[in-house]
Amino acid sequence: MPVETQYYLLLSAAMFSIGVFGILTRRNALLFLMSVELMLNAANINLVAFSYQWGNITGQTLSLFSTALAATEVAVGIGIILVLYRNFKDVDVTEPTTMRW
Amino acid sequence: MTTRPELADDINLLPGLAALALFVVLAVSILTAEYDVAQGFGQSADITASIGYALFNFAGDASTVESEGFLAPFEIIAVVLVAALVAAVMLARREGRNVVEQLRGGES
Amino acid sequence: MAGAFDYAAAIPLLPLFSFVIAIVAGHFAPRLLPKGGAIPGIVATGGSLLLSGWLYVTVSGTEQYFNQELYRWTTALGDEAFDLSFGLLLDPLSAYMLLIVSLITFLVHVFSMGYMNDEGETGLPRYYAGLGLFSFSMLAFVASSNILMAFMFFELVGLCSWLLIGFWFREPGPASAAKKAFLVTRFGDYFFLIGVVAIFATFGTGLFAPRGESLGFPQLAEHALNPEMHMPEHVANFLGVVGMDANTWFAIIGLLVLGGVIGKSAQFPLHTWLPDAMEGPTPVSALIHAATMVAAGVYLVMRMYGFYAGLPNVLALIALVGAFTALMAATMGVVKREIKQVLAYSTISQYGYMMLALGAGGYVAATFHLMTHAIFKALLFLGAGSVIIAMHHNENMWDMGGLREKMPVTYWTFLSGSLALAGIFPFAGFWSKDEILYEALIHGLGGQPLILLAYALGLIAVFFTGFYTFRMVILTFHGEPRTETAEDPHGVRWNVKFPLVVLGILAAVVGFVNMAPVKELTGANITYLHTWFEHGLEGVSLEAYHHILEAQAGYQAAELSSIGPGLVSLALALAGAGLAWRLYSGPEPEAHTDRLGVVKDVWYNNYYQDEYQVWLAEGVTMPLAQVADKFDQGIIDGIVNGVSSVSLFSGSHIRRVQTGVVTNYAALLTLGLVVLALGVGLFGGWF
Repeated sequence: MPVETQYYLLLSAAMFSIGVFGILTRRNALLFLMSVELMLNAANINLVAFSYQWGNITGQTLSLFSTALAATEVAVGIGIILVLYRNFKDVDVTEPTTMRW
Repeated sequence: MTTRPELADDINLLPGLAALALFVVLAVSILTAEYDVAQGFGQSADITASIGYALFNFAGDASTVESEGFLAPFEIIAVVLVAALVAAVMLARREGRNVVEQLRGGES
Repeated sequence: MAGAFDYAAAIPLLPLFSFVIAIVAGHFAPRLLPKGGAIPGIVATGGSLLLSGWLYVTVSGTEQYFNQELYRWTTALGDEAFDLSFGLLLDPLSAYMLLIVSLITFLVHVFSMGYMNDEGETGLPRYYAGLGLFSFSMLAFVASSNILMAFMFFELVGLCSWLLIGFWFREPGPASAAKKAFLVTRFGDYFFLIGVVAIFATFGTGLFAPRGESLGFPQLAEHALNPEMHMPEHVANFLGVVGMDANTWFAIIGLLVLGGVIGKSAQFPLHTWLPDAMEGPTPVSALIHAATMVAAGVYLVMRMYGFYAGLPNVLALIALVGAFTALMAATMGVVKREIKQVLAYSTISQYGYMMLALGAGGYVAATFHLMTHAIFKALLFLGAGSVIIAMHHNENMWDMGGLREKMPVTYWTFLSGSLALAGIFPFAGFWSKDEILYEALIHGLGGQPLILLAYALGLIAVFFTGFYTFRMVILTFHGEPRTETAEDPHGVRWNVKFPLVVLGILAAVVGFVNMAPVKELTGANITYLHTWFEHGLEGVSLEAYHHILEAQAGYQAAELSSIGPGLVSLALALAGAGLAWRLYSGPEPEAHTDRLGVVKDVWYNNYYQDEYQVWLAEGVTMPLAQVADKFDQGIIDGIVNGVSSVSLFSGSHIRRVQTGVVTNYAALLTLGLVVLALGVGLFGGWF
């Protein structure tokens, strides 16, 4: 008996929420990026699940592209963290608070 | 020597409640929805080949699962990846030195 | 010769041009004005004088009158179809007054060359500009066709008075006197303005005389008060709104306008500004505070006499105020030391006589006295100016003496003016003052006891007038010189003597235009002034006024010969003069007024009216003003500040959302997403 679609979606929602949890609570910038990756992968699972639901391979192809974009985003994100470290001497996300009132 | 992983104890868990609330909302809406029966791909479907054909807008043969064409996004993502590479290098270099020096490793 | 009417607009406008020339050239090109602006002023007022003369001849010869609108500045305000405009009204009264005003103005301009230019004053363009502006406003006031235009020029005349009294503004005295003059007259003008608004609201028009089809407001008032005539609809509507009958409401309007008159003509209680106004240059005192500006109030009453003639209560009040002022000012003039102060109180007193005449129903007597007073008072002031020049600007009469031999022209002309002022036969003042008292007596005996009381007050004032006039003359010109300056006075030139001579001759002879007692004796028809005012536009003539006085006000004239009362007032005047001669003549006069003791203190301090008015301002008005200020600052400003503080407070607290920490923003995002999803889900039936 194949796994029903809603469990795949539930899995995706759980991963996404874990990723959001990581973004909201993690202080290290690199762990912050890891949580973002987790969220992206949750979206990929969602795509693949619906690809099976509708019998169309579009979802899986799209998830390939989503992965590629995730890689892109991590590259740029690491560059930003590098510059952040240079300016604030710390990768703590809660340190840079100059853009405030 | 590496230290073993430890649970983070310096984090503030309170904002995590927002993530929990998000999960609850998503879960409730997923579980109370109605779904059609999953169609699946068929017995003799060739998944990987289908993905390949879809990437290049090929029609494929009888064992190909239908899809949209992804030729344009394929080319565009190539450009995006190149741009990301350049951006990463540009962000990572130190002020006022040329690229070759940087790649060689700084003070050498 | 209808051409005079076409050029009549130039009468007030010529001095306006001299004003502009004096201002512009005086500021930008002073060297173009060799005499500081005197020449344009003299030319302009001379031109006005000639045009006034021509106009006078036209009005008398052809019996044509002129009431035209020159410039309409608004039309059909709201529902009311009344128009506000500038216009000229040229009838016997205004032609007569224009001639008087332009003559005095011209002579004062000539005299100013001697008083200001020859004494080396600085800032002359400002002086001649002020004189020019004043001449313009006074002439325009005299010729105005409606009450709003009259009010505007009334105010402008007050402004020029302030400018000219404060000519030497760097001294504290003139600046303060100018401010006092402006404020006191302005206080009266406030009531006048309310009266103007009331007139427009009640009658729908501010015209003094009929123009074409439309009637002026005095004529409309007559229609409303006369039971035989049909009450105009507009008036009836407004009386319904106000809820009073015509007599009461018109009396209120009359009293409101009278406020301005009392202020401007320096009657009790708004007389306190005039003696202080003597701080200005003497030609200014002669022009403004003797002959023309203070005449503006009395002229206004004369202009709208058709309105006042139907209100017996207001007339009685006018007569009593006038007579009381005449007596009070005459008593105050008895003890003064400076020559100009005596003349100032004399002016207040004589305008009291004119008000008495108007209140008693003697229209011709009032206008006659207006003319003679303008001439002899201007003469006396100019003569005083000549004396002041001679005494190097020392005004104290006790420092003078014996100037008779050294300044003959001044002495004889001053004597002519004094005889006119005291009312000695046959000088001008005798005829006019006598006619005023006669009219008051006959109307009083004809059934108006208040007028009789006013007559009595006026009669007593004649004695005081004679006394203070001759005290002034004797102290100044007779006896031995009491100081060195008096022994060797500064000489005066032709530009001082020429106006004095002209006015001196006029003061002697102008009374002959209206010798009512002689007419009675000989039966000859020589009361020219009476004839002059008999005709006019409809409702604006002597016959109309007599009719209204008899019909509405109930003024009857008793049958009495004018010779008896004339002899009585002449006797009183001679008695006063004789007493002054006995007390003050001789080489070394004493200050006999000291013998009056406490009475002298009261008179010298002007019945403490000045202190009283200052107390009113400081003790009454100031606390009220402070309360109002507190209300304004605390409550009104407080409300505005409170509204803004709400926004400031909320802003300063809401901005704390921007903490700058990224995870906080992410948390807000997530929460927002959750709320949105919940909302859409509940609304869309997901659950």
